[in-house]
Amino acid sequence: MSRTSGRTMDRDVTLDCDVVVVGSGAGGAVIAATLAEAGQRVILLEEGPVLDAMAHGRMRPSESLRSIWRDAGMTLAVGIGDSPSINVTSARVLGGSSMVTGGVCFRADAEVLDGWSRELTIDDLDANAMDRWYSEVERDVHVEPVPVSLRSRSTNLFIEGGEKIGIPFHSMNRNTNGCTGNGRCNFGCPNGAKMSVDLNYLPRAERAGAELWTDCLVERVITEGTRATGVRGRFVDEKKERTQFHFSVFAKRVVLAGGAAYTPLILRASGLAKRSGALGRNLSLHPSFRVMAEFDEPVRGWHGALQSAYSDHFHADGMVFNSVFTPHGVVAAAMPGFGKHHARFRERIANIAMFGGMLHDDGGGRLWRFFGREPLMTYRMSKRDRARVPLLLRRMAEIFFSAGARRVFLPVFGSEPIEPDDLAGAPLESTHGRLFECSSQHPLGTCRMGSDPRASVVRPTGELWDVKNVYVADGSILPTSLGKNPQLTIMAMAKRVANRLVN
Amino acid sequence: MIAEALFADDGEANAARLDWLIRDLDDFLNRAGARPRLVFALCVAVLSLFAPLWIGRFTTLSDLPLAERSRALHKAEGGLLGPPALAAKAILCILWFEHPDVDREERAR
Ligand SMILES: Cc1cc2nc3c(=O)[nH]c(=O)nc-3n(C[C@H](O)[C@H](O)[C@H](O)COP(=O)(O)OP(=O)(O)OC[C@H]3O[C@@H](n4cnc5c(N)ncnc54)[C@H](O)[C@@H]3O)c2cc1C
Repeated sequence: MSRTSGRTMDRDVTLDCDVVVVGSGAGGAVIAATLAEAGQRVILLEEGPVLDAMAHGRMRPSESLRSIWRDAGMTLAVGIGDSPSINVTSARVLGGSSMVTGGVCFRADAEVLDGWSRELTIDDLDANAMDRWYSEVERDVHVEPVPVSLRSRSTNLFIEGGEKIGIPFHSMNRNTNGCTGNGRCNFGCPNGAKMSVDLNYLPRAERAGAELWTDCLVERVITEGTRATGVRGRFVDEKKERTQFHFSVFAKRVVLAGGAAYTPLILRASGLAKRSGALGRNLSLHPSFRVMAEFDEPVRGWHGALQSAYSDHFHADGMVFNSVFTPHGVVAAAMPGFGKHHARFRERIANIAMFGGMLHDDGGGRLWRFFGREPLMTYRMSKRDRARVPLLLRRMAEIFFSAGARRVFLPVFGSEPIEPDDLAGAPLESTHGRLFECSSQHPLGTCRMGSDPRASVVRPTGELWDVKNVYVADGSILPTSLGKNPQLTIMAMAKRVANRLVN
Repeated sequence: MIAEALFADDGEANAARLDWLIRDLDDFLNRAGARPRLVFALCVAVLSLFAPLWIGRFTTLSDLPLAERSRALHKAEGGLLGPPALAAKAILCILWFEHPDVDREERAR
């Protein structure tokens, strides 16, 4: 096993290899394992630290936030015009955001993949051709359906409500092995049952000879003419600050997999991929809304699988309902008021059920360079998506009421919970977008793939249009949003890119 | 100041738990990194300066009596100050509910 932390480095370092991979999340881990197993000398560079899966599972949620969540979970995409501002979360650790997922694994719908294939004229991107890569990934990360017995009471209440009014639900698939329903996947699994990439692809890469370097922040790609010769960056200390020591890794090929919010920054800092004007644009987020409901019976939504069931009944309207639960503190924070007013609600946390609603968005986000090394994200929701927000919330509230909820907490800043008779008159359509509380775990699309160099950043192979031997293999290359949780698709796309690199 | 206003139920917030929260918040912000520290400080500053305006008071939050402070923050969170109020509230609530007493309270329910 070869792991080195940049924290301990007290000098500049120069290395060389066949392929340098930047970022160790869903995309980077797949690339590193596939190429190392094909006999290439791989060095993988990750900005974040190492965190053992079992140690993560023992952490309090806030310890996970302060240790490995980017900005401790406080990153915001600033809403423009009538759009909500969106809390965009990701992780900064060996294993990337895969370490904090709910484990949900969906293939993209055939209509999305076939649409990409047709509109971008990329033959091997349709559902048939992608089946091979999905199947491999599903086997590698142990994708299995969530048994009905693991559903929480919170999830079951929403399902009961939905089914009463003719909305069917299905079990989700997740990358788990031995889940006992601890309800805290986002903050590590106490049983090590979540099969994040630190438990499969990364150890495989190491066994095949890849070197994993953590606490290494890549700042730019080094180029000579129209070829890249490697990457350069700085080591990072335990305070997440850059140290004075640099590293350079020379390689025949560079694969960027820093995630949709960071890969464009590396390219921009390197002066690459400017030609199309698409770099950093086309950011889609899958804007998501949590709706909570209070029941007379105790719900204790934290007992059971964090995510276990979904409904895509309103798929044609670009909406999916995904089961979810959050730590007590997040539930309490979504309740209105301060002091006595807030106490009235927070005393009832055990009676709260929750469900998530997600939009299959049109994009409208953009990354800007900001001071420091972090990006500024902005998001202008399309008119179509904006009109869907009140509809989504009404439908979710209706489902909870049909399950017998006493009152429903809508994600509108400072709003009081509503009772069944209030729903029709709730002024959701006239509420300003900025007052909706919205989150996203799925930034995608900022280095979109395409077959037209004027409208895309990477070729159908994942290689940049304007520089040979630089590839991108993370969520940024997806041409559009998916309407389904993306980790499986990102991994399948990375497999596809890796296959080209091997051959 | 904000934590006290948030967690005071019928009178004052539990002082020992509040001390624990403030210590943990310090550690949280120290380890979270420079940007979240800055964001949190900005949220607190904005709330402190502007929330009192929502109840027609021209002073800072810390100069208001506890009940008024809670009322000002409550009013402010439904308006323009919603995002900073939620950010501050989220961190404080997450930490508050991680206090060792919470498990005991839960079992008692
Ligand atoms: C809370 C949460 C829950 C989620 N749940 C699900 C789920 O249940 N199902 C699902 O399908 N998806 C889920 N997702 C989304 C999924 O995790 C991501 O879509 C996926 O991991 C993205 O893969 P990626 O390779 O693009 O980026 P990431 O996995 O984010 O990996 C990027 C890595 O690159 C590193 N990096 C960035 N810049 C640099 C640099 N300059 N130098 C070195 N390293 C760098 C980062 O630190 C990071 O580790 C969730 C995400 C979050 C945040």
